[in-house]
Amino acid sequence: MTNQLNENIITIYFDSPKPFEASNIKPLNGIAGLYFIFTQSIDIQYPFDKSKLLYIGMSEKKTNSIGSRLLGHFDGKSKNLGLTNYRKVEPLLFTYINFEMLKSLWQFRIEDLESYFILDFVEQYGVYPICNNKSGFEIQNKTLTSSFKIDWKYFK
Amino acid sequence: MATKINNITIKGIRGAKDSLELPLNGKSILLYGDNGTGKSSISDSIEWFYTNRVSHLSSNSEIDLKDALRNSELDEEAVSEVNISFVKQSDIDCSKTLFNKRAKLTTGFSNSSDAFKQYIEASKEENLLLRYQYLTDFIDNTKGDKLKYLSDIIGFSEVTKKKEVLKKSYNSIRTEIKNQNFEAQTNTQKQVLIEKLGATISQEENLLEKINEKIKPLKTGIEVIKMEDIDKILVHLKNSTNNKLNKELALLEKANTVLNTLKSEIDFIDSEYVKYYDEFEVIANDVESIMQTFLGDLLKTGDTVLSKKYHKDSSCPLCLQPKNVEELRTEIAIRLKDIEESSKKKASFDKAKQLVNEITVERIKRLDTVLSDNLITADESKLIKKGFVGLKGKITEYQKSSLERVTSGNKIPKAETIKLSASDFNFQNGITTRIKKIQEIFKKDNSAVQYSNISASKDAFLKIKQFEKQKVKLEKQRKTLEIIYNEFVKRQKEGLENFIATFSSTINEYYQYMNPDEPFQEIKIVTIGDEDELNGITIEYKYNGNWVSPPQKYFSESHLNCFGLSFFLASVNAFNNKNKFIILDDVISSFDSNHRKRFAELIFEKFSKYQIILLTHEEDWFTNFVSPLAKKKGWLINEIKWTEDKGTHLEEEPSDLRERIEINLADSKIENLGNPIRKYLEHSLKDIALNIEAKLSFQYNNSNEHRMPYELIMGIKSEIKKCSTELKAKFLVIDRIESSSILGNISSHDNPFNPKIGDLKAFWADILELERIFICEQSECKRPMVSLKNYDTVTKRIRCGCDYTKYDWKK
Repeated sequence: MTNQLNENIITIYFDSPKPFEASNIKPLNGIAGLYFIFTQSIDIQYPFDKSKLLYIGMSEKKTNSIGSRLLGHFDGKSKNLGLTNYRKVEPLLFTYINFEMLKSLWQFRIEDLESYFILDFVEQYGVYPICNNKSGFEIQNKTLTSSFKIDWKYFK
Repeated sequence: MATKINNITIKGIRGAKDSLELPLNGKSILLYGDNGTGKSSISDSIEWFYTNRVSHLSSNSEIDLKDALRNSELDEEAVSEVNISFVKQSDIDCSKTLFNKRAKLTTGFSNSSDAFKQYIEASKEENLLLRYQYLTDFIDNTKGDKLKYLSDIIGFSEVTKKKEVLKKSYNSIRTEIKNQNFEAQTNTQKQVLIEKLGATISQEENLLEKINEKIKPLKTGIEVIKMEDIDKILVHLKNSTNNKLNKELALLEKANTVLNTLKSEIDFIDSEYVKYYDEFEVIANDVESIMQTFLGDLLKTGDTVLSKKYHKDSSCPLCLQPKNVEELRTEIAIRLKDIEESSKKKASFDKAKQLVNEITVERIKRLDTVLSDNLITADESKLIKKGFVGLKGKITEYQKSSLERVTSGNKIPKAETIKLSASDFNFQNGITTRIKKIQEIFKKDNSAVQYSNISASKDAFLKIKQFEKQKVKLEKQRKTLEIIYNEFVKRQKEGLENFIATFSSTINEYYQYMNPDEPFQEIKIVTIGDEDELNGITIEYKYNGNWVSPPQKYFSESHLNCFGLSFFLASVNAFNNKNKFIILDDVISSFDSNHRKRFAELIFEKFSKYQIILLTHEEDWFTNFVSPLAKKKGWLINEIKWTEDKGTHLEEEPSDLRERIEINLADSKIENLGNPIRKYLEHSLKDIALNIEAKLSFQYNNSNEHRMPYELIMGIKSEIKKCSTELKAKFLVIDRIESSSILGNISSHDNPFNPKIGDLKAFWADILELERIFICEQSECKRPMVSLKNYDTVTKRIRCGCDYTKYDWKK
């Protein structure tokens, strides 16, 4: 697309964290993309490094938006016991990536983007985020036109 | 200080043609008057004095009310007047007058002090008057009307208005957040950052890190540590770049960003327009029902006219066609329900319309930021200008539709005919091509490339921060208003319910007092409505252990009236802070004898601290039950009469008059003395004239009664001169009365006259001395008046019944 894309590496920085509370979740209705839930102070010891990241999630369409997915985790309807129990220990934080922003760079489905992030995390930390119970979707197209350098140190 | 009435004088109002005076001196009064004597002149006058209306006269038009209030037999120049003076609060004594000014009836208060203004304002909120008619009206009101009635008296309506303002503010902020579409705007700027710096950035440290990474190969010797350092690096790079191309590139990129944002909003704009279009269609296809909403107020007023029985005939009050009133009210209720539905539809439509309008205004503003750029008129910008003007035209189409009046009969275009399409953005290819071209030129010069990238990134980043700030601000406002609104609704309901619980128990107490040992228990008022909206109140009670509502179900008319009366008295108890008096006008008309008895006992027992003006036309109740009780409690008792000549008036016994004069003299209340002294003197002189058979010129009927004191004195003197040497020797006192300036002035009703208290006392002493001449002072004397009826034909003396007081008299 432009000169930078020729280099094909895009750094993914995250927005500033938001407290995992209903009032911050509500405005995200109608947004599709990825979301990340993490602790404020508890470090999770992953095989290669420590991180505060608990969960990488995805909303594939605007009708089942980041807002409604996060709300499911917040009120426990998603039955993710890990997230529920971490929330009991301390208030959690979250951030998200609006898929619209990456649309021009990512030609595949949101599900593939989620897998990409999860697999990148596995590569860096040695295992899936602790509250991700499944591996996510396999990346369908291996010949990617762009690749991301994800700022995982954000969750340090 | 609790306010009680000292004196009420009514002149030229309703039935009271002459002066009708209630000298209360803070005491309660029981007034009996047969039907048609004009009892209500008193309650009407007091209601008008305090509220400027008389509810049963239907005061829709003030002019009609004024006409109805004024005694019909008054001369045009005469002034109608209600004068009220208060116990120990002479600063709020006041006359309210009604008089003709340039052929128009005008009202005015004699007291313009702040103390009086505050008093009258505070009194408007209080329950001072109850009439029989109000009792059944309250029971018959709809639930919503009951809530309104109660809301009005406890100031709840004002609170509800404030709640509506809060709700409106809250909704307008929500709309603004939606309209701004911060998420889309931020995304576009983030895309600029991805393009220019190869990173998704929204935090300062990430921006600075990326810029440092980009300028490292240029070896500028500058490290970007904070935002201000970005300008340093830009100045450094600018020196070695083509300034004109940079400016062009800046415009192209600005245009590109605006287009990208707008493109990403096509679906958003379209979906909001579709919502609006659908709402428009619904309303446009049913304009009739929307037009009906404008009749809502008229129908509500019509229903009030019928429910309050302002219109009593079996016909429609507007067109006067024959119609059963109950059927008409049912039809009105159905129409009002339909109107409520239509109003909801209209509110939803208005919301959609407003949002589309705001969306278009904001998008046109964004397009204008490019169209107002200095470079837009340059030849190389022609393409951009044309494209932007085209887009603005399309958005203007949306805007035009959002301004279309739904009742105009015009259609608005379907969404697909005006929807923004990809082809509207074709000219953007030219923009991106030109950007690439400039970037190609810059490529040869890395400094120029980085200048352009960093400059654009900085702008994009600042915009993201600006959006964040705006969003946080609006979200904060929204949250705050949400909290305030929710708390407001909660408190409003809690407050009302707490109040109602206490209020209900007082109503129940009064009701049970009047209805002991009856199956209706735990009478209470209850609110109807969900969590955040109150729709009305209703009345419930336990009947044989089961809850019953509405009360009409088992209540007889007496029971219903007892409830209404209990409600009023509980209101007096709860809300009357300033005034300690109430007027009860014929409230027991439909009560059976048992309820009447209990009502009287309730008043005497529970309201003994209040000054009560109790009016009744029930002779038996008055004579046999209330009068003895009232006498025992020290109430004043009187009868209201009506004659063609005087209109409504009170028959005050001379003994009462004398007591009143003496009290006022002792208290130096000059303003209340003139009229009573005149009346008393007239009465005494008439008695003397009658008993010595004084000759006065012939007059017919009532005119005979209207002899002025001067004329009577002349008649008496002339008779004495002829017949009695001894009495002639007493002329001195009669002469003093005759020549007193007070007599001259009090004889005239219209003369503004301010005598000194000493003069009045001296004048009164003369009247008593005159009386002592003609009235025997021996306590055992059965016929104390010196009279020709007791004439001693042997000694030729005029004398009293016991022969102690006597004078020579030649017949």
